[in-house]
Amino acid sequence: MSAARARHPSLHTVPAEGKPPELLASRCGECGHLAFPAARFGCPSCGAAPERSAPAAIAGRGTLEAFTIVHRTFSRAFPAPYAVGTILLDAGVEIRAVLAPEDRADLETGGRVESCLVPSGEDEDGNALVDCRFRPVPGGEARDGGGAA
Amino acid sequence: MTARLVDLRPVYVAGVGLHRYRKPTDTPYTDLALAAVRAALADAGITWTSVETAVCGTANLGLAAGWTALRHLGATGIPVMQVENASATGSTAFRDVVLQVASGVADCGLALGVDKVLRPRLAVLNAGTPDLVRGAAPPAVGFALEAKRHMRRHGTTLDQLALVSVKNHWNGARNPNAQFQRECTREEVHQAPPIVDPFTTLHCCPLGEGAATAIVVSEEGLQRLGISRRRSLRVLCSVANSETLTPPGESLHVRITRDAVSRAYDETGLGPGDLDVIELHEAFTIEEILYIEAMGLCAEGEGGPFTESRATWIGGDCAVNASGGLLAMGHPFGPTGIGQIVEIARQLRGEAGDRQHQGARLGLAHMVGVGEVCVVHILSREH
Ligand SMILES: [Zn+2]
Repeated sequence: MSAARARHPSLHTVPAEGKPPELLASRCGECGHLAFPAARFGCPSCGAAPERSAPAAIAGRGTLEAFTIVHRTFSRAFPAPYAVGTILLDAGVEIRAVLAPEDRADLETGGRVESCLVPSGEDEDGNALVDCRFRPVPGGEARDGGGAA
Repeated sequence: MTARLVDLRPVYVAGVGLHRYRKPTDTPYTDLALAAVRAALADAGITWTSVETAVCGTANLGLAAGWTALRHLGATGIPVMQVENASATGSTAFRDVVLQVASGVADCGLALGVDKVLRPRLAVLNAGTPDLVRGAAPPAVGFALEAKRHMRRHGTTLDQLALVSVKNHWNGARNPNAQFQRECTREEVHQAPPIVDPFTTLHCCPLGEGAATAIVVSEEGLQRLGISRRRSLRVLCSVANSETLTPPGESLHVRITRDAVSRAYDETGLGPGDLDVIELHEAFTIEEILYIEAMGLCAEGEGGPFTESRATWIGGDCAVNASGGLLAMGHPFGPTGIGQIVEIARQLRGEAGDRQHQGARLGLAHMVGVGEVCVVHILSREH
């Protein structure tokens, strides 16, 4: 079976089955600013041209700073109810992402989360697409190297 | 060094007018716009022929909405321009007229905000900049996450958030131009249909249509046109900014609000304790709590208890969103920022009827908009 493709290929990798995707960030060669999504048009920190930025894949691992359950469907691609979270990635970038926990009761503010892939329909040629979500780390990985909750 | 507004010649709000905000109808926007403009002209006691420049703020109507409506007042040949700045569209139209009059290129200018409920075309969708939550996290979701964070960090309660809605609906019930003119209880806020935790519909501003107008005049204009100085309000500052890189854990909206308002304080020598009325952007309840903190009305994290203390009620230390705010008066985009100027003018003149905050002398208007952008004005009663 050929690997599925990403619905948004500029945002993340599509690794082998079961592995968390990496996020496709960029690092500015002028000021060092780490941008996710990658700074395709220029550095938001110093304005350096995009060719001064280098791709930087970062781990989709971080801490769930806040999450919420959405009860209204705003877009057909995301039928309610679904969960959205604010995540502080270990790389130091804060992002928002759609959460895909196996059980919503597993979502915990301050808990560890990681990226994962979910099916996301097909492209025009009928190839399966995947999209990036975040979920609580299975097994409750210890936070900040401290004791597990 | 660049000039502050107070370094230029004095400018005054000399007339204000509204078309009531309401849920969508089939009425052409022309009716809404002209009702607000004619009300403002009558309020100032001048005619359209005295207006030397006009700026129309509209987010949804499309190309040349301003001229298309204003020409029915008589094609006088004045410069007419249209601006869009997301939620801050009306504030930006007002700012432009203020700057034109302050610069001396006109003595009498008119800012019109008008909108119908049409699907806004968000440029970001065509910007080539996808992100992980496109489509899944509209502003209601973003602010719900900010509410959750504030509740966890500072112990802000759902009751305190709901109280913002209760207060603003109480105010709106006393505003004949508000979209919602009915009081609501905390229980009703809690029991309303859920949108996104912790928000029910009563934590979120409605969709609606409407129009608002402010007429801005120089000192010379006041004299030449015989406009009452007593009813005119001095515009003390006009501040606008856009986002800067925000460190993790910090709210972008709080940051641009704090930056804009502190510049407004610097330019005027005023502080939060001087303000009698504030109209601020609370499209969602949490925003009022975030922004009263950012404006220095209370310490960071104290917005919930401060709201509970009734300090932000009409008759309290500083009446916040006496109009009903975006939650109850409504948020039709183009008009909203100018509607704030209308409310502040009425409060400072003592013409706000049942929702009058007694003795109001100084008022601040604040809008943020997708971008993110922030626009702040401070108005003062001169007599
Ligand atoms: Zn840079």
